[in-house]
Amino acid sequence: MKKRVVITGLGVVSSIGKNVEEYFNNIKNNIHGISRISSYDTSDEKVVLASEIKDFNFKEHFSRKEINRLDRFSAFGIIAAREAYIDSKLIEIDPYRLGISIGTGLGGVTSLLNEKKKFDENGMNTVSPLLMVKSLSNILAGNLAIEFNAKNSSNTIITACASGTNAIGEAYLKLQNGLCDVMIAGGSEACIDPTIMAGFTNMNAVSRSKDVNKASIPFDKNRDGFILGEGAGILILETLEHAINRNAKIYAEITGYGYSNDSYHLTAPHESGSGAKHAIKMALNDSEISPKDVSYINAHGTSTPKNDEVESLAIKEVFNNKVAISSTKSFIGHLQGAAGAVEAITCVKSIENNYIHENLNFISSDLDYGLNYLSKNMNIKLNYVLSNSFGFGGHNACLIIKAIS
Amino acid sequence: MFEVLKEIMIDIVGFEDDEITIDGHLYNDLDLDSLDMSQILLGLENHYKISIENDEIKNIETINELINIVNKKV
Repeated sequence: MKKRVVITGLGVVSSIGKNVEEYFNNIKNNIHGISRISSYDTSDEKVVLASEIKDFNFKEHFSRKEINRLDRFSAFGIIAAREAYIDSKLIEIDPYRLGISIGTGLGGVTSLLNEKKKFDENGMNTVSPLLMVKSLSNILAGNLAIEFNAKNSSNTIITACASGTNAIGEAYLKLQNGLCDVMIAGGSEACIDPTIMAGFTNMNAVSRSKDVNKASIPFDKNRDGFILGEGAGILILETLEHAINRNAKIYAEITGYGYSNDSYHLTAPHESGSGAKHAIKMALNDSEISPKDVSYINAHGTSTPKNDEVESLAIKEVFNNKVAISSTKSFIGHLQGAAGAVEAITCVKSIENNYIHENLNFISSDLDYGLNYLSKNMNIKLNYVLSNSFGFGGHNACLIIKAIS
Repeated sequence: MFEVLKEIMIDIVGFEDDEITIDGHLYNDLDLDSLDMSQILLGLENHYKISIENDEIKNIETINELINIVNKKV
């Protein structure tokens, strides 16, 4: 018999909040985090907007020596994990029953790029011995394992924009099958860098809008690409029995996980939406529910022309009803490997607050599927919600999160 | 020499000024690990244009001993 899996702790670092409370308050106040890029000069750039975390004081969280060893993505992930762990009030656990499952797209790529610049300009003797511990994609999981004395599996899932959702899903599977009692799961990303942005720009994936209110506009007819964001979202997942035994506060339950690969194209989704549909249906089946039981879809909704069209088609074909749809990316842009994790937390907070956010700055859609793209925030009692994530490489991942009963 | 080493330990590795004394024990006082040592050695090599092999530092325990090794090369 598979074990039930619940969520008992949340942590967020984002452009609109350096903790969960601040983050969700800003969501409820329709405050987005998209602004002119401040971390490098964009005067000659085609893309000038991002969803940056500004004025972050790492010294509040780490010693100087620790800061030297941490890429920005690791630092965000550790801070979010600390918040989630404290929130869960987990005090005592067998280290071999505590695991880590982290998603990231590019890991410590900006540290790698910085060292490459030093190498090119001044030779190999100027490359830091810390290059590896800062840039390896698995190094956040390693940092968390040390920080929380977690000796179960400590895996890193790299499925581009689906990484965060896959990381939570894989943690869910481990817990369901009794392989551990508690998992620290989520994602982190920090890759707002001119070289990375040039790559996204030249493949026409990011928005060239100069208007912060007309840039990340999922499902809107004027959408022209995603807005690159950064941050981290971490959840504490545990088996229901473990949570009950320690009298933990339970936010919600994960009841379904679906996944697939389009096996079609490196970046474009299959035009039929078949991969997305399969992942959604698999998550519904895993939950043992029908589409009509889902009252909200937190869409992948990147604001790229193609993703939003194919995701809409998939939703239309599976749900064929007026289920409410919105994308958190309209507030915080696209957090890549952290997106699914922060969006899962958004779903949990939506359930807790009986509140779903609109597609911020959405005016009207060119997508003629008759879907309910929310243009106004809604107060609604939620039971089952679906969170979608789809990534370059053809990766699709979906979670069903349920109000606890 | 001590001042150079101190500067490397503060600016590159991230130690605090008051943690570093000339007779300080690298492991007992500073809790030095292999990553710290790699940064210190690279900093010294670049500053003095010398090369320090792992064998030469494997038995040292204090800042003073490290300075003595570098002194012989400069």
